[in-house]
Amino acid sequence: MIRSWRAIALIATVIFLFGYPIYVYTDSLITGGITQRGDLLVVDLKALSSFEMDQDTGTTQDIPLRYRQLDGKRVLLIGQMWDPYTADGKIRAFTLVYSISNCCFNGPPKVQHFIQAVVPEGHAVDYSSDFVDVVGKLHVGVESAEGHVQSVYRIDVEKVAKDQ
Amino acid sequence: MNYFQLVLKQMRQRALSTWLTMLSVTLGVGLAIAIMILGRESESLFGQNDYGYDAIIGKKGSKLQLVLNTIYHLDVSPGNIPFDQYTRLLNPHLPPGVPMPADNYYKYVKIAEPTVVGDTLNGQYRIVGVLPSFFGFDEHGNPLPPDDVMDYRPGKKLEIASGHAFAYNKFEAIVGSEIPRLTGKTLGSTFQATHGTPIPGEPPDIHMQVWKVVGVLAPTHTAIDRVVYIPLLSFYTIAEHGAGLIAQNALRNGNAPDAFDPDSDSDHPHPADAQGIQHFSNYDFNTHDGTIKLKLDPAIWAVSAILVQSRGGDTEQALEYNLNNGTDVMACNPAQVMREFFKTFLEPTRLLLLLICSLVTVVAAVGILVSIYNSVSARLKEIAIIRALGATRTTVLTLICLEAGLVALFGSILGLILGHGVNAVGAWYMAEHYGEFLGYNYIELVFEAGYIIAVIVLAIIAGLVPAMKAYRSPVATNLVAT
Repeated sequence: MIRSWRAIALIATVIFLFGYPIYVYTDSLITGGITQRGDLLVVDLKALSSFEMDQDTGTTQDIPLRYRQLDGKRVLLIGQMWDPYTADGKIRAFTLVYSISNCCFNGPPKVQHFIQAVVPEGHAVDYSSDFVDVVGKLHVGVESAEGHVQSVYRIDVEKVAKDQ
Repeated sequence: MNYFQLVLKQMRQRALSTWLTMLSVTLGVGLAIAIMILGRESESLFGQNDYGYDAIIGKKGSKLQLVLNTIYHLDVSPGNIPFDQYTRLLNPHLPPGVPMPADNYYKYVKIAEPTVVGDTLNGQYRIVGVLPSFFGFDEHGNPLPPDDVMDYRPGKKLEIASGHAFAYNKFEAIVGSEIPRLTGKTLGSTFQATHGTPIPGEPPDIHMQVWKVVGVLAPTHTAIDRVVYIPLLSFYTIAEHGAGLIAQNALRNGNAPDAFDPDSDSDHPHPADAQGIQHFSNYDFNTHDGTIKLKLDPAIWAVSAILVQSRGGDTEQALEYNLNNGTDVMACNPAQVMREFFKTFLEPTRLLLLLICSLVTVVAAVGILVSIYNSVSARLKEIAIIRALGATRTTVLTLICLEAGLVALFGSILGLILGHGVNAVGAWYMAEHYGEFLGYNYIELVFEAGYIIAVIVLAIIAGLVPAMKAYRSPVATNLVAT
């Protein structure tokens, strides 16, 4: 009896260890990292930005359709803030990335990894080096200038909170 | 007679002991307040925690050194980089259809401003060579469109409060708002540059060239207020600088640098020729209109740093990635560097100061406890008489706690004045010698008032120990005791 319980525990552990990543990957593949939570669409930032696009000549058509369809939708994004202009204190605009260390410093940065977040006029948010939940209206579309894609995703920030 | 009057009378009766206890509280609170102000101001001494540019390009090495040197004008420059590192950031104005060269970064860069350092005014205030565009003007003195002018802080551009921008090719200067007060150099004043920052006792190496102040900047409340700006071109006219550029260029090309002649002819006055031109090895100087014609090839010019405002999105990261993976220069984001600096150095310092403040407060409270305890021990008979006259145990307890609270209150008020006074002296010294301003003259309610309330509460708690002794002391025994 004891042996059979041990065997069950072992099998459960193995299933969890291998099954969970497979589940996450499959889920991301099927849903594209987009899930519904209440009235919000929770979008996985890594999935949102993991596609290939020419950094100089890319167009909106290069963005996968399921992400183009997020244009104008109210979303929840979880990621890290990157503010190139402020070292301390309140900020009015920032860039959201899925992971600063993974997205931006290990290889050539890609513009689709950077979600341009703008806080409404008269408001400001505290800079945080932790992961944050950002809720707002997402805008999707390539904006270019001087022969380079300047932006793919933009979000009008409604709320920023530390990710729990 | 109410409690308050009774306590004051008690305190007056043993004035020396009360004053000494109050003095210990005053010194403790004064020290703690002074530390608090210093902690607060050490952060604001950096004056600037946001930036109008998102990249600084400079010589490979310490990013912190590059940022401190370029923005805060602290530390020494990490070294020079070739001027073409600046030109590769500019619009190459290629004909239609011609692809951008791979080593041109215009697509990432909105505005770039080169800076060069190395000299000082009076050996103290940094002289920085910049282009007129740094102040929002082109080479001909015409204002540039606001979008083409770099912010020194987000949304803030440098403004010339009096005078005008310098000509790019004249010995003219624009000074920060604090310079006239600190050095007396104001509109129309002239000055000579001192090479580097001489150590005390070292005779200053003063360059021959004379600059005239033509503009004073509006206050920015940053290190810019204590900087003297001269045209980039005029910086290269100085003999040592010209010789240095030639030597650095030779080294970069794998050649041995020529021996530098400290008595180079660019540092000695020359007679003008028939056309009124003075000929120096580095440049020609027109004595009629005061213009400089630099003889040095731009290919050998060098700059200390380049401030860059990127085009947003990933462009700052892309620029950083491209330059940092090359061999010549590095780029860094000043906000990130300073964020790490604040986190590494200022936060632990703040915690340490908080710990010291707490210990000082505990020491002051223990001082009150010991003083009142001794006083109670010596006054047991008086306390017994008060009790015999009808005072309850609670009244005695209240009187002693009130006394402790009052000593802490008076001591704290004096300590508050002392703490700000010490910082006022420090502020005067800093302003006189370093041009830095310490904000000693306002009380930060949350911290300072909160701290004083905490001291009073702690003193009352400390007063409970002698108060309990008085509370418990038997009346009859103490009345008989002699």
